[in-house]
Parts: sequence; structure tokens; C-alpha cells
Amino acid sequence: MWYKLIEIFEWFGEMKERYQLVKDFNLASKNAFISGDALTLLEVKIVNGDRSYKHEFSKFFGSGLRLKALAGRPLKRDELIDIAKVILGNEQLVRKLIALGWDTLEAHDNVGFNGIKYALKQHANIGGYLNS
Amino acid sequence: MLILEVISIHKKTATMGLITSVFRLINKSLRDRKSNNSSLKDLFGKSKNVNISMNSLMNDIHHSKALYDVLKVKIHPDRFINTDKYDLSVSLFQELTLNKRNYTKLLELKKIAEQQLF
Repeated sequence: MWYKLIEIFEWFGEMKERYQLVKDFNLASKNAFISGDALTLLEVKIVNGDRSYKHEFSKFFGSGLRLKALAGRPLKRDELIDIAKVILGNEQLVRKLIALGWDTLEAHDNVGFNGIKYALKQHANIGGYLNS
Repeated sequence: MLILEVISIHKKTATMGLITSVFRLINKSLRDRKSNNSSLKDLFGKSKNVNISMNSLMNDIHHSKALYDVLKVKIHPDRFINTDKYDLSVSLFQELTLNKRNYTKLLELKKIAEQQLF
């Protein structure tokens, strides 16, 4: 029975880490936007991911990470791909996302229905060392 | 009587010695264990030290593309054909394409290019 308690504590610890990552990203994005470094305001949200992208560590609820961009105009597909590729290019971050239970990365426009999604496990170089 | 007392004193000292040696052994083993644990902590503590800076990530998202576009023109090996800087420009350009979305690395490459290429 005692090991169930440990599992519960671990679950809460992991949830805290997930929300801390989201909070850090949103805060950094907000600060960059306010100071004028960034032209677009980005926001990250936890959503339900694509079940076809699931892996062994993905959560059943909230396995998707949605990146919303507020640019004041509909963003082109290339721009959305660029934003998503920066995150996917950071292998440490992708591995952290996978370890924390995410499996899908979505990049969405604030206006319209444009959006792209990626399976995180394909970009983590699992089974290999980090490139950087 | 005196002999018996001497024997009992000897017994007491022997047991005390035994107890202290056992304590020493336990203490030593605990210390060894602690040092092993600290090395394990060092090993697994690395994952805690992985600090993903969100500010640098923001720089990667918003500024890396513009800097890459500038650098890819400046460093392109075609500009240095038939010069002694050709090999350096080739290696820098390869590194540039590998780190096209890493702003801090691009800044480093820019510094190297300004010092050695121009």
C-alpha cells in the first residue's frame, strides 16, 4: 500500500514540473513581447494530443502542447513551421517534454484554423546522444 | 580475590574494545556508503542541472532566422573561392547550417567570422 503513496507523490511532482514549464514559457514570451524583442505573442497551452502519436510515457489526458501565436494577422504555414521547428530543434527540450508526458506539439494561429502538429518522439533522437 | 577482579577488569576492557571496534566498522561502512551515494548523486544530479532557458528559446524563435539570413550570405564559401579563407568559410558554413535555429551559437559564429574572415 505504501508504494501507492509514493506513486501519488510522484504524480503530483510531475504535474508541478509540467505546469512550471508552461508557466516559464508563457512568462518569457510575455516579457519578450512587452519589451519589444518579439513581434508575436506566443502562448503555450496543455491540450489533448493526437492518440496516434502516443508513446509509453504519454499521459492519457493533456498529452498535447499547443503553441498559440498572436501576430495580429493570420500567420502563414511557413511561419508556423518555423516557430515549431525551433522547439523541435532543441533536443533537450523535446526530451523533457516527452519525459513529462507530452507526445504532440501543435502550432496554431490565433486567427483562422491554420495549424500544424508534430509527433515529439520523432524529433527526440531517442536511442542516440544529443547533437548539441 | 584480587586475581578474579583483574580478570573481570580484563573482560570489561575486552568487551569495550570489541564494542568500539564494531562501532568503528559500522561508522566506516556508513561513511563509504555516503561517499558512494554522493557520487551517485553527482551522476544523477546532472538531469536536475539541465536548465532550459526560456529567454534563450524566445531569442531562438524570434531572432535566429534573421541572423541566419544575414550570416548565410556573409559566410557563404562562394565569396572566398581562390582565397586562403575558403576552408574556414566552408567549415563555418557547415556549422551555420547545423545551428540555424540556435541564436546563441549563431552569435558565436558571427563573432568568429568577424574576427577571422573579414
